[in-house]
Amino acid sequence: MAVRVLRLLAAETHVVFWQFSTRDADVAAWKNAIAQFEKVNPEIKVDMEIVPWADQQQRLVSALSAGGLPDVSMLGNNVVAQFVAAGSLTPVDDYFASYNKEHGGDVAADVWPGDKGYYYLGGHWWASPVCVETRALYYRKDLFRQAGLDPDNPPGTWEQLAADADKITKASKGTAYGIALSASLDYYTVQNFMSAYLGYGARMIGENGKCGFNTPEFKAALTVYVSMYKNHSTHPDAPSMNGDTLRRGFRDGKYAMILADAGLYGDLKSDNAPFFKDIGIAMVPAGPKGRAAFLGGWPLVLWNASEHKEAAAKWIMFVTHGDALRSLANAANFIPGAVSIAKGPPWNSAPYALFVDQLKDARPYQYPGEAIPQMGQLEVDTIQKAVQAVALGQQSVDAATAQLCAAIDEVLAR
Amino acid sequence: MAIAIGSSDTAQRSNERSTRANLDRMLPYGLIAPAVFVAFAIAVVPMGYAIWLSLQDWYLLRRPTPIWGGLINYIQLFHDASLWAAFGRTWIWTIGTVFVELFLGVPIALLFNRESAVSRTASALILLPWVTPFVVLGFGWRFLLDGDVGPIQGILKMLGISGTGSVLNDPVRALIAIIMISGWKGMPFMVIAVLAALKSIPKDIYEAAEVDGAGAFRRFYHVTLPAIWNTMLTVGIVLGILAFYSFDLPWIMTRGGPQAATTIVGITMYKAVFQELRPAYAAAISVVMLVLLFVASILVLRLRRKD
Repeated sequence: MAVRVLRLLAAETHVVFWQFSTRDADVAAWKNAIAQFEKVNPEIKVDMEIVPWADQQQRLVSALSAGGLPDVSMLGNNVVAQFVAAGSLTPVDDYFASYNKEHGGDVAADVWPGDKGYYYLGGHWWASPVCVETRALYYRKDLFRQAGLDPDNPPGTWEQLAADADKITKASKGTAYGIALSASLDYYTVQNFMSAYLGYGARMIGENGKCGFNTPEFKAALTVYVSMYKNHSTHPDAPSMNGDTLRRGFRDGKYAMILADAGLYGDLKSDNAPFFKDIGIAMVPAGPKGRAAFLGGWPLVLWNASEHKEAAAKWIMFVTHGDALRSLANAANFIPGAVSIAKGPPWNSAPYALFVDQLKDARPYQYPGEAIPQMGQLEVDTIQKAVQAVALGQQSVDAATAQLCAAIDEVLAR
Repeated sequence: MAIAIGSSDTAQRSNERSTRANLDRMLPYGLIAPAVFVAFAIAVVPMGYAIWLSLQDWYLLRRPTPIWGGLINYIQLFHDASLWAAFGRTWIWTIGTVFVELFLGVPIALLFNRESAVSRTASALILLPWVTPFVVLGFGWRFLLDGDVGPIQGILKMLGISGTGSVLNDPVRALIAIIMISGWKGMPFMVIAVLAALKSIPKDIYEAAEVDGAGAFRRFYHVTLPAIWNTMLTVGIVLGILAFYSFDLPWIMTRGGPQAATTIVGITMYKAVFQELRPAYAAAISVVMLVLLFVASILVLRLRRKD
C-alpha cells in the first residue's frame, strides 16, 4: 500500500495556481473545479494559493523580479499586455488548437470580441478568459417616483443622468444622494468615467501614438461627469472615497443610482434590502457618439517560469471551457468568458441578460487602439487625477486635460 | 628520564594554556558571531543588493532582466521634479510627526509621572494607538473624518476648519490631518520612553530646587528638561526614521492624494516598483533616502553630543 502511495506521489505533477478572489463562494467554486479536474486527471494536482486582488500586482511583480511565479494565475484583462511585454507569459495557441482538435469547435471564436483585443496580441493568444464583466446602471424606482421622475424611463444619456441625479438629490432632502459616483484616485473612477469619454467620442491614444485626450469631446465628457459632484448629486467625499465604500453605500440605501457589475444584484438580494423590489437595471448611459461600457474581466495565464507547462495548460483549458466553466461561473456568480456559455441559462435571463447584451458595447480604455503594455500604469494614476483635480476645483478642465496628456505621454515615452 | 617526563608535562601544560588562551580570545567572537551573521543577512546584504540594483537599467516593460546602467537611475532621479516634491513633503511629514509626538507625548508623560489610579489605568490605555495596526487606524480615521457622518469632521466643520466635504479632500488639510494621525499613533512610544526617563530623576533634586525657591516652571526647565532631553532626542530620531519610511497610513487614507498632496517618498517608491515596473529606479530612490536620512541622523546626534 505504502509503495503504491509513494509511486502515485512520484508520478504526480503539481500545478501552482494563484487565485485572486477571497469570497467564500468563489473559493468553494474553485475548489470544486479543482476536484473535478483532479478526478479526470489523477496524475495532476492543482495547488491553489489565494492571493487577494489588492495584493496581486505586488506579488506578481515581486515574483517576476525575485522568482517564485506560479504555473498558472488569474490576471486583470488590461495587464495581460504588460506581462507579455515583460516576456513572462507563454502563448496558449497550441493548447487552443489541441483543445479544438479534441473537443471540436473553435475556442478562439468563442472569446468576446472586446476580450480578444486584450488577449490576442502580436498574432498570438496569451490568455484564456474565465470571466467577463461590464457595468450597468442600477437605479431605485422608489426614489425616482419620489422625485417625480418616471421609474420606467431611466436616464439614457450622461446629461440625463446628471439631471436626474440632481433632481433626486434635491427631492430626497438629505436622505439620499442621486448617484454613487467615484471621483477619487481609485479604479472605480476610471472604470465609470471611461464610459463617458468613449461615449463622447474621446480616444485615449491618438493617431500619432500619443495622448488623444486633448479634444473638445474629452473635455465635454469630463465636464458632465464632474458636474454631478459639483452640484452635490453625490457624496461630498467622492473625490477621496474608494469605490467599495460607494457600493456599500448603495446597498445601505444612501444613493439612488450606481454603475455596477451584475454581482451587485445578488448582494442586494442577500442583504434583503428593503428597496430590493424597487431596483431597476438599465444600460450604461450613452454619449453623443454612442454607448460604451466598461469591459472588465480576467483570464487564466500560463507563466513562462512554469516547469509543468503541459499540466498547467491542461488545467487552464479544462476550467476555462465547457461544463467546468459553466458550473464555476454559476457558483461564483459571474458572466463566463466563453460567449457560447454566456448566451445560455442562467445568463440569458434577468438580471444577467442585460449585462450580456451590453457586452456588445463594452470597450477597453484605449478603444479602438490595441492593448498597450503601459495600461496598468495609466489605469491607476492618470485619468483619476484629472477627474479629482476638476472635481475639487484645483484645476480647470483645460489645465487638467493638458496635465493628463503630459502624464500619459511621459509614460508612453518611458 | 625524570627530566624528560617533567619537560613533557611542562610542554603539555603550556599547550593547554595556549589552547585555553586561544579559546578565551575566540570566545567573544564566537558569542557575537550569530548576531553579526543575522545583522549581515538582514541589513548589509539587502543594502548591498539595493545599491547594486540601483546601478542597473531595468524597466520591466522594456527589459525582462537587468543590465548594467551605471548612474542612469540617479541621473533620472535628479531630474524628477515630482520625486523631489515628494522628498520635500516627506521632510514636512517626518518633522511634523515627531513634533506632534513630542507635543502630545511629553505632557502626557509628565501627567503619568504623578502617582494616581487614573494615571496607572491610562498608562495602559495609552498604548492603544501604538499597537493598533495601520489598516485599522486608517479606516477608523477615514470614518471619523467622513464628510457626511464623521464625528470629528462635524467638529471641524463647526469650528470652520472644514467645509462640506472631508478635510481629506483639501491638499493642505489632508496632509496636516494625516501628520496629526501619524503623530498620535507614535505618541505612546514617546510617552513610555520619557516616563522612564522621568522616573530616573532623583526626588532630592526637585526638593533642593524647591528649597532654593524654584517654582514649577523653573523646576521643569532646569531639572526635568535636561534630564529627559537626551531621551527625547534619541526617541525622536528613532520615531523620525520610522516616519521617514512611512507608507501605510497615507496610502490607506488618501492614496497619496488629493492629487499628490500626501504623496511621500514611500508611496513614490511603491509606485515605481509595483505600478511603473521600474525596480532599479525604486532602488536608486531608496539609496538616496538612506543617504539623506544618514546625514540627518548624524546632524541630530551631533546636536545631542554638543548638549
